[in-house]
Amino acid sequence: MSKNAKPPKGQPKLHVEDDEDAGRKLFGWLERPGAVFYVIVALGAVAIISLAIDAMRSPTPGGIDSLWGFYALAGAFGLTAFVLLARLLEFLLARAPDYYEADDDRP
Amino acid sequence: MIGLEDLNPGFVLILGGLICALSPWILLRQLVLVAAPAAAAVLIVGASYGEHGMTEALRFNLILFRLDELSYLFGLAFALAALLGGVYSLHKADRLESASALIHAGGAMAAVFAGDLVSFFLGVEVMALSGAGIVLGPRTKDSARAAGRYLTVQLLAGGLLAAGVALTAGAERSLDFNTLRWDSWGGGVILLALGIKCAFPGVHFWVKDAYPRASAVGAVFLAPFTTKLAIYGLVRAYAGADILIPIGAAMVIFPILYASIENDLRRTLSYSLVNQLGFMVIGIGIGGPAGVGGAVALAFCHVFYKGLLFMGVGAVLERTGTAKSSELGGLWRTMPATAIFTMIGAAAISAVPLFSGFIAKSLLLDAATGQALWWVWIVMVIGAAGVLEHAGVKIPFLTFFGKDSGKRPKEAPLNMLLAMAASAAICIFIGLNPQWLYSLLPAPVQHEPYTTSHVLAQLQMLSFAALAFVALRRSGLHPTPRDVILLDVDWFARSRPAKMAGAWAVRALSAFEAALGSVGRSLSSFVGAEGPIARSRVWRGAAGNSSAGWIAAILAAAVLVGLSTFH
Repeated sequence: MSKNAKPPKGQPKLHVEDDEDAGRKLFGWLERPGAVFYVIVALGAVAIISLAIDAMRSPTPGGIDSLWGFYALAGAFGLTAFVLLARLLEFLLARAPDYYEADDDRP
Repeated sequence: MIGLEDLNPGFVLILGGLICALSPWILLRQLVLVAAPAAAAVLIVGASYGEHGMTEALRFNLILFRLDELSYLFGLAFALAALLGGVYSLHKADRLESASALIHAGGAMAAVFAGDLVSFFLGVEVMALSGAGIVLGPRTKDSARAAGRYLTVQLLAGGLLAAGVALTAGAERSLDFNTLRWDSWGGGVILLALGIKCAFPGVHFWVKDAYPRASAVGAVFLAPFTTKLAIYGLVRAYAGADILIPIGAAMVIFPILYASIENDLRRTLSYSLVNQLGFMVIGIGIGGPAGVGGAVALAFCHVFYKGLLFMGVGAVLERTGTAKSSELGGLWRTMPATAIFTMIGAAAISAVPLFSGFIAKSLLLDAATGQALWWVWIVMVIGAAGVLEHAGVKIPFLTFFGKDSGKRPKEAPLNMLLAMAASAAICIFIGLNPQWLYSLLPAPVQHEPYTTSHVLAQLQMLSFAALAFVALRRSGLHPTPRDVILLDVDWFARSRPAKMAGAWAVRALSAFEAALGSVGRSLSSFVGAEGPIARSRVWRGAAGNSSAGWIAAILAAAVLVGLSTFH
């Protein structure tokens, strides 16, 4: 029986909301063409604005954290380095999901 | 006469757990799951600072309930975590899980409020046994084996803790935490025990082994307690110990590599948990009000945002039957509320400004720069980018967005949503009110996280890291989720050659055990191969009875050393 089908006789009529309706109200815009592109543009805008403000601020004496764009470099380089190293690790350490089970089941 | 003010709040939870164990009525268990943590929280908030519940045993004065700034903050976090976990589990209220979960939380709380090392040890042991009950929750062959391995590791740590306590008591004639030094025999052994509980590099495997094998509810109860209790112990006894800084730095970095390629999202969260513990361990090693304050603040925040992430992934597991990212995607359509709460948890762990993680990590970074520990500071900044990759973006993206898996599960049950909403509210509340948390820290700190430089630096780092993630996804360099497991240090215990070596070790140990004397034999009769623990289902699921031999030997050795030093 479908969710919005008529209830049996004698029972109160209930409005059964389509499960996907709630999700569409909040995230339906994701299905519009170009939505992901706009998300990336927004992210890029935050990145560029943060760099611009960083450039306009008067430099403060201190450690490497006061260098212009240091955090941009740390974020982009750090994440990329982790992902690439992780791929190498995957090549070395990945095994079939039942790798241990075969040994565990052996008497 | 012992009054209500002498009652360690952990005992309330343990009593609640025992009621759940005996109750055949689900309604009673549901009531206790919420009422017991709430009562414990009321007791904590209403108690006055000082030492209560003093008693004498083993010719030592035991302090069953000590309340100070440090124990208050950890105790409060544990009570709230137990309450949220209780609400999260209401739809199920499974007898074994409910009982184990409350006793586990109660043991953690009893240990946190313990005023001496013996009471602390007893709380830790209660946690070990009950934790195995939680892992056993799904009652599958896989969970039984994992419960056995979990118990083995926890009892090993407990045995070391007992040995350390005995050595310290013998050398210092005191059971006070303040007498511990990591470079003394007793202090070093206790540090090793806490290191196992805290998932130090090399002994971290039990976290990623046990937590993902518990049920959705069980993992929510496992995540906040054991490792955070270890952090509490490190803060209490080893604040400022330099040795902790490189250990913490390693803990920040290596789990990120595993978490990035791990397919099982709960295992990803387990590695992420180790990574977050690394930040705390660094803070403890740095010491001082800012370092310790940052570690404690992060531990407090972590209880809620990591709990929230485990809840979100647990809700997905509950509804879809899987937590593997290779089988998920596009769940925003039918689980939008769970998606939003998980994203709040992701924002908090990624230290996005206005969320709880930001105000704690900002304090830790300032602690490192304050002592000119630049390499530590760089590790934490780059580590934060890694956190964004696996916990901030990967988990919400692959679960709720990304490629549509075609799954259309129902939204999470109301009680789960309620627990997630409350956890999310706490993450936001702390993020918006940093001074509230700072005022509760053990030592006063003067820190303002919402300065232009702090916020700008964090936004710059996060936005560029997120852009790098997008670039890696689009170029195909980001790992595609695959249904594989990753070898970790537990390979040394679980592979076939290791098991054969273990069998030979057991034979050698059995001979050693037999020589330990009457104390060893009496302990062995309980813990050993023929004892009640070894005959239990959990123990039979362990890697083998070899573990029982190890534990019996260590416990027996601990007691013998203790007895010899007391006289």
